[in-house]
Amino acid sequence: MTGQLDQLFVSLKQWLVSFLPQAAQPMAGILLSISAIIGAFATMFAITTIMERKILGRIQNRLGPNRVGPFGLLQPAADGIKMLTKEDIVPFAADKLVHFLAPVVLIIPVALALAMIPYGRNMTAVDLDAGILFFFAVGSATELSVFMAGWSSQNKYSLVGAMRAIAQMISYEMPLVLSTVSVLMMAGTLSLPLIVQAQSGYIYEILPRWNVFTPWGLAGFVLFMIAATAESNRAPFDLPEAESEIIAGYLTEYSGFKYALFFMAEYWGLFAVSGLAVTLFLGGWNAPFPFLQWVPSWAWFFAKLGTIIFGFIWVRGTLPRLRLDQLMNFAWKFLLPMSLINIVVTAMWHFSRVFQFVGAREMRWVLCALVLAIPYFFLGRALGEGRPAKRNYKFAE
Amino acid sequence: MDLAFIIIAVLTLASAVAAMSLRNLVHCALCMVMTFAGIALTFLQLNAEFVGLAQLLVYVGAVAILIVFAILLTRSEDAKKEVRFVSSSTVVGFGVVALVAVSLLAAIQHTQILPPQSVVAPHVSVKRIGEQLMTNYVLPLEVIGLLLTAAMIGAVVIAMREPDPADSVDVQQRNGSPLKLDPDSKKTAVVANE
Amino acid sequence: MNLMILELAVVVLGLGILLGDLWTAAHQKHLLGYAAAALLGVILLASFFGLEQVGSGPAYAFNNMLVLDGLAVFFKRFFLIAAILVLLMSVEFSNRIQSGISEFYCLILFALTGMMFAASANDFIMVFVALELISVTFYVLNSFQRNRLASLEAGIKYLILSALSAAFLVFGIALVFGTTTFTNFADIQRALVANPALAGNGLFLLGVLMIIVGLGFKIAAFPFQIWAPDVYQGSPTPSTAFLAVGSKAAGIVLLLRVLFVAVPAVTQHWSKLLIIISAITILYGNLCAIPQRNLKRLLGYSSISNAGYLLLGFAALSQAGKAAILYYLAGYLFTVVAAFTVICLVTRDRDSDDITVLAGLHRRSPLLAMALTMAMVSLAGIPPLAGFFGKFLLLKAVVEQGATNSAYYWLVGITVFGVVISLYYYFGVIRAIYWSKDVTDFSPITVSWPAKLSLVVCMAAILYLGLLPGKPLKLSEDSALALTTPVSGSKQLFH
Repeated sequence: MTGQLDQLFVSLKQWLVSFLPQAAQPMAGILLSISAIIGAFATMFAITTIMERKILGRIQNRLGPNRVGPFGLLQPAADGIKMLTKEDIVPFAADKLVHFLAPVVLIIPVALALAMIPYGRNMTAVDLDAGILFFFAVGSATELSVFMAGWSSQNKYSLVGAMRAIAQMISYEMPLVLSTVSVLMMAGTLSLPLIVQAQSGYIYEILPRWNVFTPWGLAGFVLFMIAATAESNRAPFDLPEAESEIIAGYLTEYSGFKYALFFMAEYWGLFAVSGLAVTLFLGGWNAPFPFLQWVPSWAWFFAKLGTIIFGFIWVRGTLPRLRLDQLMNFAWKFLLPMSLINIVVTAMWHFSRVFQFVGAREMRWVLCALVLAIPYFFLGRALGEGRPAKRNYKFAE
Repeated sequence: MDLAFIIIAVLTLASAVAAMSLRNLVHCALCMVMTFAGIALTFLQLNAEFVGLAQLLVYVGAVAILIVFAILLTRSEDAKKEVRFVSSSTVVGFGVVALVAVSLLAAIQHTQILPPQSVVAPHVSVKRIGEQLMTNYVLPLEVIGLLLTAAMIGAVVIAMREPDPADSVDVQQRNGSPLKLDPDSKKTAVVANE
Repeated sequence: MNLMILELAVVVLGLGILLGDLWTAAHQKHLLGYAAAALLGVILLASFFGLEQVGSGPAYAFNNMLVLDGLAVFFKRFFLIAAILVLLMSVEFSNRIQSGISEFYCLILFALTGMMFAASANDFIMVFVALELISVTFYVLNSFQRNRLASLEAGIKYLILSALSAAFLVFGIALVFGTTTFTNFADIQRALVANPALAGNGLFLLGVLMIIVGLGFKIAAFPFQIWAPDVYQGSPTPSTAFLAVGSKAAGIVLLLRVLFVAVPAVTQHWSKLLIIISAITILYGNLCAIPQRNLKRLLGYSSISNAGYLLLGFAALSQAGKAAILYYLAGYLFTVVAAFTVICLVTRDRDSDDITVLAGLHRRSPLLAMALTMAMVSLAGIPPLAGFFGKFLLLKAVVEQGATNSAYYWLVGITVFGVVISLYYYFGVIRAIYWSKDVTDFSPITVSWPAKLSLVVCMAAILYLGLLPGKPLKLSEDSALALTTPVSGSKQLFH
């Protein structure tokens, strides 16, 4: 029974496809997977927007949306109707074609990236040998779309926003990719389902073998999440859209459905990168404890995904926005060296596997954590040293 | 020759032509990105997964952004100046292109068609590429590391901000102090030069 | 690993210079150049002790990617000497580089590493990687004076044309790999022997041709010489000198290996092509040099004509021709470095490289005047200096082949014609030194003792190579032997 529940969607797809002639089956299977992913994540987008507003409201000591439907739950539907029926304003000076293409170019790579993620046992839409490479390859195309949006609007706020966004995305792509390298080193593969498989099983029959429970995995997870926050332009790294400085950055001149597309692509990007974090560090669809294995694998995946997204919302609600120089210093002087050190620590972890005596694992853990903690301490101090003196604001206060 | 290949090839070539002939530099850059993506797709279609994805990652992700940045940061006011399309360089350019194309075609014509190879191209996994890079080709890999170091040093040197001569005595001394300063500093400058 | 110990030492030295920069006071940073030159001297000396054990026969490493034979050792020492002299010159140049002089030294060392790898490259992948290392460092070295428009222009021109030539090279390598499924020289040679039809395969030939295009750019041979004058003129003088000597010699050694080790069967058929390229290069370089008034530009054209002379040795297709190439290169090294060192010192306080800056040089500094005169006389090919004997050897090798093809006699005629033309402009330089009418500046030029030393060494070498050719000729003949021995590839030191 549990097995059937676990493979519910897989069997459903096979059953649906079996009605078609043999030749059309692979194509139909792919199309079915794609539409399932798009449908699931469109729903999830709706849920996330309302949940985000509700949670932010709670953090800021207010109620959040509560008028449309029971507890305000129909708010996304109302928003959607509003977006679709709004007038689509294109600035007179804008480069019309590029302005139109920008949201399209953004949504396609994000959707492609979503196809790479293993959502459950046997539930990977496209299982590529170099899946993670594909993920980052298509992810890099989003920068281009941001540039297209900012440049084609012919508006200085848009352009400034786009330049900020690109500079930020390029800077944080480095630690993002480098922090995944340690996982790839340990798993010995670039294929996402195989990485999940490498994290299955339990230590002492009870503790999960997830990467996040190793020193390099923990450090990698933290680095990855910080870089991912910056990559998806979310607070506290939301300088590209800083509404108090540059209106809405590269989104300034977008309205109506195009704006909705941008909005959705941003959230899908968030889901994709969170899904990757789950896959790489949190054991993918593996259950945390052996006795919980009866819960379907996809449920575990989405539970972990939800937790990470809750973390994103929490961070957004609590941390103030960074300044541009802080942003760059943080990426290049702290995250990048730390992720390089993390790779070295991973190698240490790997080669210290030869020690097999009792407590060897614990000793390795402490040793590797120390190697990470010491540079962390010094790099953190060095980062603080260049801090400008406290500024006196003449007109504020 | 299947349909997908034709579509990709036509798109790639069309965007390459557009990248050369459009007036707006940013449009050219965007068209060039399309060309890069088309080439990546061709690689993917040939089952060269790793090369295709690396092409996408490097060219669409990095090179294109670099070009776009360069265009935006160096754009001058006379960018809209009329460009002559038929100039001596155009003629020479077309001449060279024609020469290369003709010699390529002639070479292909003169090549005996090899018997169709029965051996199917092996599926090259990323793992095998990595193994090869770490064993047989480790020396070129290391030299490329040195190359990148040199390139990085060079980029930093060329982009580095000049130390302001007004507040750096050292630089003045090394430059032989062309400025008319008080006699004492001039003396030290001469000493430093020798 | 033993095979690349010299390269490793140079890389470590380069990184050491970068690190040493951190602990050096700003006004002493230029002295790091002396340290680098001295340590390179130590490496050069070490090469006479460490490498003897493999002097008996070629040794291969890294899956036959590197080869260490007489030719490789010859060129490694050649590049080391060139780098030492160029480093000494850079120290004299340091007052014209605003900041980052240690990076300048470091990049010279990295370029040197690339050249040394090129000297022992035995695989097309290694060829490409080494050439790119050289090119990338020269993009920076050429545009190092970024406040001077001419320097930036030189850097950009070199960048664009070098990238284009690299594209040809890679395309060629791809075609050769596609038709033979090998990138290793020895494997390709074996494939050519096993399958003679390959030498008639159009795609394979086109690939080889494109590789020659890529390498022809490096040595500034005829259809690919356009960049040389502009780049030589604009670049900082030490970069120009290193480009003229090191980069060119790297191209020569790779051409030698490609033409005579990888595809000897093709080279046999292409003697006509080599003759034509050589003749046109000589004519072009010498004719265009006549009206030049800028010293560095003049030497740029002179460098093109010298590429033509070197190609004579290729066209001869004989063992004597190969040995003559090596001999000529050795003389060329000291001659050109001496000339550029003098230019660097004379133009120290001025902005122009015009030929008029030489006016009255024999009164301002007799040493510099003598060195430049000797360099010019040697370049012009007048006995008893190195340039004469080198040209003599090259022409002798060509004449010996005359029996097989009468085109060789035409080539000799054109070469002699070119040499006669070159007398005019080389002596123009000498005239500017001694017989200028309007001499305005009589201030003596102070020359630091390392620069003096390097000039004296150059002059001594020019004289030695011209007067006592016995021993160096034997050395170049022995080194060229590496290009005849059948490649076995059996002796594997390191895998």
